[in-house]
This record gives sequence, C-alpha cells and structure tokens, in this order.
Amino acid sequence: MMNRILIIDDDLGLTNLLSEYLTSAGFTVDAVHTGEDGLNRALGGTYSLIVLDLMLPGIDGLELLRRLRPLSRIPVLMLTARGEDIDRIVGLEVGADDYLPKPFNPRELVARIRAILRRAQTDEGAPARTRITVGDVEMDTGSRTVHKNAQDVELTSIEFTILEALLRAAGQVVTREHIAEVVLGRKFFAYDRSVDMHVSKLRRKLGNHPDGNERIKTIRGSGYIYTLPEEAARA
Amino acid sequence: MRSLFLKIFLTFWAILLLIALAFAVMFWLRMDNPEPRLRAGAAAAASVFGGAAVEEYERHSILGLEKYLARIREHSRLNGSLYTAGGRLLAGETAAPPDLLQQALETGGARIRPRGQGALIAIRVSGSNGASYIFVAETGRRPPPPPPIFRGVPDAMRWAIAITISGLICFALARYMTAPILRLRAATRALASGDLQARADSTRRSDEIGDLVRDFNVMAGRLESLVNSQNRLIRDISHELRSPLTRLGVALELARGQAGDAAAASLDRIEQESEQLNTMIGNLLTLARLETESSAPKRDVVRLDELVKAVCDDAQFEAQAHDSGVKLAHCDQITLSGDASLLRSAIENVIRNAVNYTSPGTTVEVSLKSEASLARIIVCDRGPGVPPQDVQRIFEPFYRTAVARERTTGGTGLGLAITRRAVLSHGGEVCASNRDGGGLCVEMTIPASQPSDAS
Repeated sequence: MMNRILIIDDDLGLTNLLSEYLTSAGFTVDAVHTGEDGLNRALGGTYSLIVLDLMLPGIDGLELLRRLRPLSRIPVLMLTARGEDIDRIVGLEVGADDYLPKPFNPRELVARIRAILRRAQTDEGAPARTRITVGDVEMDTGSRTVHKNAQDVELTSIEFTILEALLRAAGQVVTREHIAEVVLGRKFFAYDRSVDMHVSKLRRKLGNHPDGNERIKTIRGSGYIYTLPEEAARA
Repeated sequence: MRSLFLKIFLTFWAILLLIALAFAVMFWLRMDNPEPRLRAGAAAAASVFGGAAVEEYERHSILGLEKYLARIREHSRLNGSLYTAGGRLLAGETAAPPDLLQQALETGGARIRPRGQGALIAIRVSGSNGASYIFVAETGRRPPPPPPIFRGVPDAMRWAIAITISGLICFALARYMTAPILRLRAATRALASGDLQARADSTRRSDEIGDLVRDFNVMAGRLESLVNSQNRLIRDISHELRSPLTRLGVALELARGQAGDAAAASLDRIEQESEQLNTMIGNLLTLARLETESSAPKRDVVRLDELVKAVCDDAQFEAQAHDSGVKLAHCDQITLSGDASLLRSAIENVIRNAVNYTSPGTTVEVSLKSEASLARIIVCDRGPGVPPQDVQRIFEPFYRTAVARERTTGGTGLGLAITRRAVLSHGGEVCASNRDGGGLCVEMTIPASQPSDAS
C-alpha cells in the first residue's frame, strides 16, 4: 500500500520503461496518459504518490494539480520537459511536493520518491531518523532535509548525497573517485567535471563557516574535505 | 544638411523665393525700358498735347500757355513744359536736361527718359510760322492700387509676409513627403533591433511612398513568420529530443540492473554522453531564446563586481582540483542594469572555457575594470590559444579548434555563442585575441549606466 505509485504522462514509451524500473525498485506502478484519467485515478485510487507530467493533452499538469489539491493531500512529484524556472515556481505554489526536469536520472527520481514518502511517513508520526550534525549544519537522512542555523537549505538529490558523504567523513579527505562512484554511481573520467560542478554548487549553497573559514576545501589532485568548525576542532 | 525633410523644405523654399525674385527683377527691368508700344502711345499723346500747347502759346502768348498747362495738369495729371528750339523754358515746371532737348530737336520723334518714379517725354512740335518748340511731359508713375488688406502696409512687411507664407507652404509640402519616410525609418530600426512585430503606419497614400510602406510591412510580416517558425523549429526539436533522452536514461538504468559488471564501463559512458547531449539541448534552447529576445533582456540592478567575484570563486574552487587556478587580478565596483542570470552565464562560460584550456600549473587571470561608462571584463588563460585567422570564430556556435577536437573538454560548443548573444543583448561587445607568450584573452565590454560610484 505504501508503495503504490501513479504515473500520469502521455509518453507511452516512457511510462512503460518507468513502470518497469520503479517495479524493480520495489514499487507498484499504474500509468495513465491523459489529465482526465489521471485526475479520476488520483481521486479514486489509493496511491501513496503521483508522478505527474506537466504537459498533458486535455487537462494539463498544472490544472490537474489545481483541481486535485483541495480534495487530496497525496504527494505529487512533477516532471517537466521545459525546465523553466517559471514552471517550477508555479508548480510548487500550486502544491507539488517536488519537481524534476526531464530528462532526469532515474536514480534521482527514485531517491526523491523515497524522500517524499519518508517525509510523509514521518509526518504521520513514525520517526526513523538519522541525524548528522556538524557545527551549524544539521542533516536528516530520513527526510533528506538539511538545515543550517535552523534554516532549510534546498539541495538536489546528488548534492544531498555528496554532502552526506562529506559530513560522515568531516575533517578527512573524500576523494573525487569515491564521490563519482558512490554518489553518481559510475567510474570517474579524467575530464569529467560534473563532480567538481556539484561540489561547487553545494559549496555556494552552504557558504563559509560562521567564522569565515572555508567550509569545503579542495585538496589538489585528490579530493575534498569538509573542514571542522573551530570549536569542534578544539573540543 | 543631413535630414531629407530639411533638404526638401529648403530646396522648395529657395526655388520659390528665387522665382519671386526673378519676377521682381523682370518687372523692374520692364519698368526701366518701356515697351515701344507704350513709347508710341506716349509720343502720340505728347505730340497732341504739345501741338495744342504751341497753338495756345502762339495765339494767347505765355498767359494762354500757362492756363493750358495748368488745365492738362489738372485733368490728365500730366506735368507739361514748353521749351523754345534754343532750349529756353517758356512755361511749366519740368527741368529737362539740355541733352534730352537737343536729342528731341534733332530726331524729331519722341524721346523718353526714365526719371524718378516716372519718365520724361520730349517731342519736337512745329509752330504755324515754321518755328520749332520742344514739348516735355513728365508722367507720374501710377502703380495699380494694392488690394485693400495690403493698403498702408510697407514693402518690407509685404516681403516678410510673402516669405513666411511660402515658407509655411514648403514646410507643409516637405512634411507631407517625408513624414511617412520617417515613420518607415522608425519601423525599420525597430525591426533591425529585433522587434519583429514592428510595422510602419500604413498610410492611405496611393503614391510610391505609400506603396513602399505597404511593401515594407509585407516584408516585415514575412520576416517575422520566417524567424518565428525557425525558432519554433529549434525549440520544438530541442524539446522533442528531450523525450527520447528521458527514455534513454530510464532504459539505461534498466540495462544496468540486468547487465553484469562487464558492461558497467560502457553504460557509464553512455550515461555521460547522454548528459552531454542534454546540456547541449539546454544551451541550444537558451541560444534560440536569446536570438528572438535580443532586444529586451530583463532589467535587474546587477552588482557586476559581486557577480564576477562569485563566478571566479567557484571557478577557482573547481580549477584547484586540476592543478590550475583562477585569479581575480583587478575588480572595480560596478553596478549596471540587465539580466543577472544571463550576465552570470555569459561570464561563467568564458571563465570556464579558460579554465578548461589553460595548461596545468598556470593561472587564469580575470579583471573587471570600470572605464568611462563601460564595464570591461578581461579573461586571459595560458592555454594553446586559437589560430589567428579563427580568433573571432570562437564565438560561432559549434566552432572548435583542433586542440578542442583532440581532447574531450566536455564543452557543448555553444558556451561562447551564448556569451556573445548575452553580451550583445546588453548592448556590449565581445572579442578575443591571442596573448603574447601563449594563451587567449577574451574581452567583454558592457555599457554600465552607473559607473563605479555605485553604493
């Protein structure tokens, strides 16, 4: 019951592949291809989450969400091919729980679905949380949320996983090869800059330590280190 | 005289005034040389009056002559005098020059000489006893009475009125001819700056200028639909490419689950390449959007120095891992209005490009300078540079140097094209040059409305 997912997308090829992939990841999947069917199923069925495409024939994704929200609190993850900020903002305002631009990495989709479901679960009062706290940063691996000074930091799934690896090894070097293999799930290529880009974005989102020291440092030719804040280092 | 309006206006006016002047001169010349017919009429009249005057003189002596002269002065407004053949004035008030009298005596016909406003007419008249006299008549000039509204208006004022009225007429005429051309020009400029919906005011004129305006509008319409369909095509293609790419990604993960470790490396490679494809599509979409919206980027207040600092900071962080570096050598405080995210990606693309190409162990130098009302951003690397003949081509989409083709740098070939479009849309320029000692310098200049004194 907790793992029933409804996919609403007019791309038949994609829904077939996604159904297969999500099934192999342990979910039960139903797929419909129009907005009308989607709305009926969403209201009638007992799904734990809806994967909703923004561009649909008939009622489009936004309109569907607008009609669904007053009647149901079911979590919705929105997909869009447009990737424009405006869709994201409108989608989240109308009540989507998360947003993923097409083309997405299916592993990221599963990670986000699990995170949303876990959040929904914890909301219902079943705490199964692991917390990692380093200085002013607090990570909840259960709900996949990060807080800095009690303020929510919005991270992508990949950034979250990289931060988790860095925090778990705070004060020690994490190699780029390790990040590539564990986080991105693939071998590291010499000219692959994506690890650097992700760490760079993560660094920008978190900023420096309150005392002005660099939070994440590059170790030349090797990898990255999440530096321990002063008081923690002294203690 | 750069303006067509001014040219037409002044030319017409000058022509009109020249014609008026020509008429005035001609009129004046004709006054100066009375026509032979006028001359004959005057001579006949003078001979009649002269004959009568001599008869009066011979019959009633000086007294009769004076009476007669007074009579014709009163009735015919003719100022007459009678001279003897010897040139002695018998009666009358005209002071005729002796040579005129001499000429009249010798030729026997009437002699006419302009004098003052009128003319002197001298004619020989024979008396009954064979004696010769000379009758001289002075005609006053009597111009046609002016129309009532001009009565009492001085000549200078009349000229001023004539010039003003002709000026107004020429102004209206020039206006009528050039106004649609000016509107057409405004529309052309708008079209050139990227406003594809610009149309000239469609006048009801049926002349050549009206035709030109209508033809322009037809052309603009055609251009708009062509460009729009072109861009729609690029957008649609890019958008449609993302659907199979999404399916590819899911299929890839399925394959990963089914295949063993042996296939892992190949599958990783497929994933990396499809990510590359996706980045490229994203860049293509950005470029297509920039091409259509070239004229109107968003107007935020952008702290350019902070933006450059942030980009350099990120790039330095990433470059460290590859044993190179990024140094912000100079950074003036500059605020300008523009699209912050567009400017960011413009600068980021150039700096990332430099980091990608600079040799290991070298540093990319970035400087932001405020010059007059310009912001100048210079990014220099120590890489292989670009063949001199291709140095401006690096801003073309998909241009790659031989070096770039040899090694996989991970670029999409669109980064610098996006930079160029973004800088152009902010009214700026971008250019590249090879550097002494090896490497490439890219220079972006962007007009800054508020130079360095921003707070």
